[in-house]
Amino acid sequence: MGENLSHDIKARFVELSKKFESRLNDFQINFHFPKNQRTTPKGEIKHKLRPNVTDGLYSELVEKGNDGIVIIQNGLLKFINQKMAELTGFKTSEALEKSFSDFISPEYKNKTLEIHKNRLMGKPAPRTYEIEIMSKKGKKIPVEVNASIINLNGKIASMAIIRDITKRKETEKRLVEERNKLNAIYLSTQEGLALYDQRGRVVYMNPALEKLFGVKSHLIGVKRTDIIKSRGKYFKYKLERFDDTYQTQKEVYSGKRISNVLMIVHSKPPKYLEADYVPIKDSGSKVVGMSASFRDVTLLKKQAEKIERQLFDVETQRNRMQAIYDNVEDGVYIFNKKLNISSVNSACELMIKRPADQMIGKKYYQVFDCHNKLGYRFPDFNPISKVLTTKEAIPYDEHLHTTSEGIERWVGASYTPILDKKGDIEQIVCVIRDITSLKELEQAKSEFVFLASHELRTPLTVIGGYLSMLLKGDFGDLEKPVNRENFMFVLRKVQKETQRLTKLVEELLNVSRIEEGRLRLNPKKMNPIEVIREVNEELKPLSAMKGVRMDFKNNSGIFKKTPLIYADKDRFKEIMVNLVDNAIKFTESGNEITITSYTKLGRLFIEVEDDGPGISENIIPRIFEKFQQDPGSYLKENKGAGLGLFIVKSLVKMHNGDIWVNSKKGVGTKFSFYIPVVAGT
Amino acid sequence: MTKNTEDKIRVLLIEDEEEVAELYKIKLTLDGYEVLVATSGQEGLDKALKEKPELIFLDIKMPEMDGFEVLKQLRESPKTEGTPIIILSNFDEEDLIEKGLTLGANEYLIKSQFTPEEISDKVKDWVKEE
Repeated sequence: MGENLSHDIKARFVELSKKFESRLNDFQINFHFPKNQRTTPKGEIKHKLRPNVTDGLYSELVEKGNDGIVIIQNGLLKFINQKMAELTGFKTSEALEKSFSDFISPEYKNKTLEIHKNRLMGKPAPRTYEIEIMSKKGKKIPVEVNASIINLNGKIASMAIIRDITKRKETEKRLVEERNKLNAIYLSTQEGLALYDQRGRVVYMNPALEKLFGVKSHLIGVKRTDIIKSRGKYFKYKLERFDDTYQTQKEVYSGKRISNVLMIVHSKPPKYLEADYVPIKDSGSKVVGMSASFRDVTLLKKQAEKIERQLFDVETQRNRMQAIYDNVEDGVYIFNKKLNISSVNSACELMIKRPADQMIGKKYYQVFDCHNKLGYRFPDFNPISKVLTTKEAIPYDEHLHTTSEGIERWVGASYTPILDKKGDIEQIVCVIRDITSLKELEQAKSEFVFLASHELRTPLTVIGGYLSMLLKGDFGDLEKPVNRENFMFVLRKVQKETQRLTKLVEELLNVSRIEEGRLRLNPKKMNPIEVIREVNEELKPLSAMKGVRMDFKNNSGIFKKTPLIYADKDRFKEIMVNLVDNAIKFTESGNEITITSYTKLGRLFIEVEDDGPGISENIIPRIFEKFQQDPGSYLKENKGAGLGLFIVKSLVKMHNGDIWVNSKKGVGTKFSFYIPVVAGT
Repeated sequence: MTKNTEDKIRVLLIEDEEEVAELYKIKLTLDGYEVLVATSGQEGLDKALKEKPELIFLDIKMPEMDGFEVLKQLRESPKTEGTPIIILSNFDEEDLIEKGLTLGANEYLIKSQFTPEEISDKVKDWVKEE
């Protein structure tokens, strides 16, 4: 029977195969029925092609093909090829005459029988379908069945080509799983995602993207360029981008990846987005689309902005400090615990008269040449030794520095240690100020006090001396009228010295007021000529007593009315009295004093000229300074403290005028000053 | 106090302050001394070398040649190197006092702190009667 069957089948295949003559080359290992084969209502096969197949080819196709082949007649297996036997684990002999349904997995039995039945009855039935078959060991194997009706030994039979699709099924399953996973990611991610096709149309976008942009209209299938043109139509929020949107797209479609494109979505509150555009390429590196991802960087951006602001503040602060450091008048320098200088500011350079690079790295005491009044230097004199031992700042100290030019300067300094974490000195910041001029001022002040006290003591010596002699009886018994003259002599001396003392005290107070800016003027429009006349009259008796002739020539306002000045009348008179009194003091009998006034260019000029002994040349430059007297014209009675001319000059200056002196030894002296005239007078 | 001029102790007063010089002159004259007065440093130096007084009162603050210069020159001259010199000044600075004594003054007195009598007594202290 087997022999016959085998022969029949062989004959049948030869017949069938011959039909495919023209397409033989397509047949490799798998066996296929031609696509145009149709089943007739009677189940007969229309033969359109002439078969021309050898026995060898048949054997290849049936026995060594990759697909299992079975023929079923009356529900029983009539033929099973080697591949099918391998697939199911049955031997060919075991399988034959078994019921085909035994090979089908229970859940597919009905489906398979249904299809089988339909086909036998000539009803529409799928040519290929997928089921699971059972192996000998009970394992389910997914297969694709390709069934057709054949004539076997004159009776209708079903031939099925069965392909193991285990691998394909597994791949499909994996693909589904992968797709699900990706989907889950797309749906759950905060990042907005969009995919565009080759022509730039939206093919996909995730919910996050819709939320980020406030998508209000259907976007799938819309061209990106159209979206850009009318964003308002598609998006709820205004969008501000920091790139050339079209250019970005162009570049991506030319294969470039564009990253970190910044944009602002003006939602409430506004969101900062950063986008990446990546080209999608096929296996041939051809760009077939674009993916875009958008991430919300608002928080990052805000943090970055905050950091930037803080950095800016720090930088501003640093610049400010640097500016202070550079521009402060105080010298600032920093040195480490080894006393090496690490930094100096420009004020320091100026003070020490050395550029910074000549100071940095050197020992501070070498650079600054600090020493005390006695000339002691490092290590005998070290201004920071206390800082090094106590680690505490020295808020103020004074010592001397000698500059690179050898000039000695007084310096006021503060030293502040900067400690490290361990509490050790890391650096010492030193701020120094040149206090030389302060020291000089201080010295000038104490000199003033020194000279003033000397001047005060002189009349006091005389007063005290006479009084003690009077009390001791050096001038005889005061009860006796004979001694009255002596008594009067002493009283006159005391009176004279008291007046001198009073004047001196007055002058000293004025100097002090002038120097401290406390001298207040009470300026009024006044007639200066009247005052000059007054002074002239008042002092005339004094000059007459000395035999000095005095004259006043008023050359101002002869043809016009008298010029007026804005002045404090008392102070103006003080100026005149001082100058005229001086002239009387320093002249002798037979000399002449001339007071002249004239106006020129809106100024009232007044000159006090004498033909006395003149002032020594060396004293002229300092004649208006305090405690200056001309020793050359030294006459016993002319003793003064040397404050008068200082006061006169200060008063003239306070009246917006100026004063100067011309003098020649043996010829005479002329003091000239001016005060502005009130406009229109 | 009616000694002859030759018997009298001669005192030189170098003092530019007229009133002060007059005061001391009155007192010293009353006390029986022959008083020579010089009103400038140069005049004082000249008089000292010429007259060789037994004692010199010397002011410091004087125009042109001050007391220190006069003192220096007096001590350099054999004629006056041993003469008692008393500085009379109203300067009371330590530095000046030290300077005066270093230059060879026998005493440095602050005028306003001494009565004319006390100053006159200094002559007795420094000049031994023969």
